Amino acid sequence: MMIDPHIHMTSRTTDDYEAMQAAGIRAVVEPAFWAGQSRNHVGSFEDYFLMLLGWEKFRASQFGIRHFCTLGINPKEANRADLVDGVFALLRRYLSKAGVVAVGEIGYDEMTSAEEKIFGDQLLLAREFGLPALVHLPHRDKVRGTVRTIALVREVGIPDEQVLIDHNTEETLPLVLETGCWAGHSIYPNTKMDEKRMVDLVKRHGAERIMINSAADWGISDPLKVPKTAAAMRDAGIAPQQIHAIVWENPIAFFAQSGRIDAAMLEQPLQIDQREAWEGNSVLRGQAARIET
Amino acid sequence: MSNKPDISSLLEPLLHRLAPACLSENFVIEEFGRRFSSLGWSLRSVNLALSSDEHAALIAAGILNPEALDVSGIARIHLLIQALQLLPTGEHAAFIDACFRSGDNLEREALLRALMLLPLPERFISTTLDACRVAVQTTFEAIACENAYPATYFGTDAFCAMVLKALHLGVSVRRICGLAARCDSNLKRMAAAFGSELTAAGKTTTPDISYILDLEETTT
Repeated sequence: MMIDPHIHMTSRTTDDYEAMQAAGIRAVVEPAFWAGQSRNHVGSFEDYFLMLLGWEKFRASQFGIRHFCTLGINPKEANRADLVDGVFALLRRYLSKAGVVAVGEIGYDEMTSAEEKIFGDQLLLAREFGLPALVHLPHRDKVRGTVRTIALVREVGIPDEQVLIDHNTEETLPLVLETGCWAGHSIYPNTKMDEKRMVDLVKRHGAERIMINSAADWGISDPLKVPKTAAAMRDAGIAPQQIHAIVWENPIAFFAQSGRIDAAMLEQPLQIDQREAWEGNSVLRGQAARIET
Repeated sequence: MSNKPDISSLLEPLLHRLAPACLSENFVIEEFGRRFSSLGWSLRSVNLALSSDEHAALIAAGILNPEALDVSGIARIHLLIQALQLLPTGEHAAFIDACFRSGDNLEREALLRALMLLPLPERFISTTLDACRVAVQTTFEAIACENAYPATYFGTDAFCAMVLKALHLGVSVRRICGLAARCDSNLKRMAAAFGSELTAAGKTTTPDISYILDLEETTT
C-alpha cells in the first residue's frame, strides 16, 4: 500500500486514478497550487478550494482512492497584492474542513518580500489551526531557498516536525535532515528528482522523515512515480521496511498531525460504487459501473 | 516623454503598406479590446516582409527584435500607443495591466515588446514582474529578451530572478539586454549555485552559466 503525498489530481484523468489504484496507491494528498497561469479573482480560489474538497474527493473515491488536500496561497500568487488578503480570508474559512490535512503548498518562488510575508503568515495560520505545513522549495536558487525556509520556520516558531519541506535535491536534503522537518522528493520524468537519484539518496541518508511523491500535474509528469520509485528501491536492495516507511508510514505520520487522517482509516479498503453521483454527476460515460464492496 | 522616438510616424506608413485596413481614423477607446484581439485573426494572411530600412528603424525605435512580431504584433503596438493617447494618464497603468491579464499569448507579447515605446514605462513595473512569472516561454522571452525594460526598470532582485529563470528554461542569457551592466555578485552566486545543483544531480552545466561567471562584476 502506498500514498502519493503530493499530486495535483484535478489535472489528471480517470485513467490515472485506475492505474494508480492498480499500482497500490490507496490515498493521495492534493496541495492547492498554481493553475499554470495566474488567477485574477479571489473567487477563482474559492471555487478551486471547493472543487478540491468536493468533486475531486468524490472522483478519487470512485476508483478506490482516498483524497485529502492542503490549502494555501501558492508562492507565485503570493506576489499578487490584489488577491492575497481575500484568499487569506478564505483560508480562515476552509482550513477547518475535514478533508484538509495541512496548509500548503506554501513557500518561496523568487524569494520576494511579498512571498516571505505570506509564507510566514501561513505558517502562523497552520500553527493557529493545529495543522502541519507543506512547504514548496523554490525551483531556482534552491539551496538559499532552503536555508531561508528553515530560518523562517524557526522564526515563526512552528515545530519542525509539523513542517514537510518538499522538492528536495542532493544539495538540500542534508540541510533539511539537520532539522526536525520532514523531507519530500518529487520524482519527475526529467527535472526535480528521478528514481535512480532517489535510490542513491535513500542509500546515503536512510528513510527517516523521508517521503516521495509524483507532484504530477498538468505538465509532463507521471502519477505512477511513487510505485515506480518503490520498485527501483526494491531492485536496488533497499530493505522493505525502509520502503514501507517512505511510501506509507512517513506520510501518514506527518499528515496525521492534522487529526484528520490515520493509519487505521487508510488501511480500510475504500468501497467502490460507481453508481454513485456527486451533485448529480457520475464518473461514468456509458460504462458498466464498477462495484467493489 | 519628449525624448521618445516618434514611433507612430514609423508604424503608420509600415502598416499602411502591409495592412491598411487596420488603420482606423475614427478609433475610439471603447473599441480597443475588440480591435486588439481581432487583429490576430484579421491579419493572419499578411506576411511581414520588412525592408532593411524598416527593420533598422524598428530597432532604432526600441522594437529590438522585429523578427518576434508578425503584422498583428506591429499593429497591436500601434493600437496601444493610440489607446494611451486617448486615455487619461492616471488610467494608463491599470489599462496596461488589464490588457495583459485578459490577453492571449500573442497579445501579451506585443504589449511587452511595446512597453519601452510607451510614455513613462516605469508605471508598468508590476505588470512586467508578473509577466516574468508566466510559464509560456515565448511570453517570458518577450519581456526578458531583446527588451530594454528589465535592465532599465527592474530592481536587482527581480533582474537576477529573471536571468536565473532564463538559465533554467534554457533561454540564452545573451539575449538579455543590459546583462553585462547588471551582473552583480548575487547573480554570479545564483549562476554558480545552479551549476553546482546540476553537477550534484549528475547533469551537465550550460555554457550560459560560464558566460555569467566570466562577466565583470558590477556593484549596485
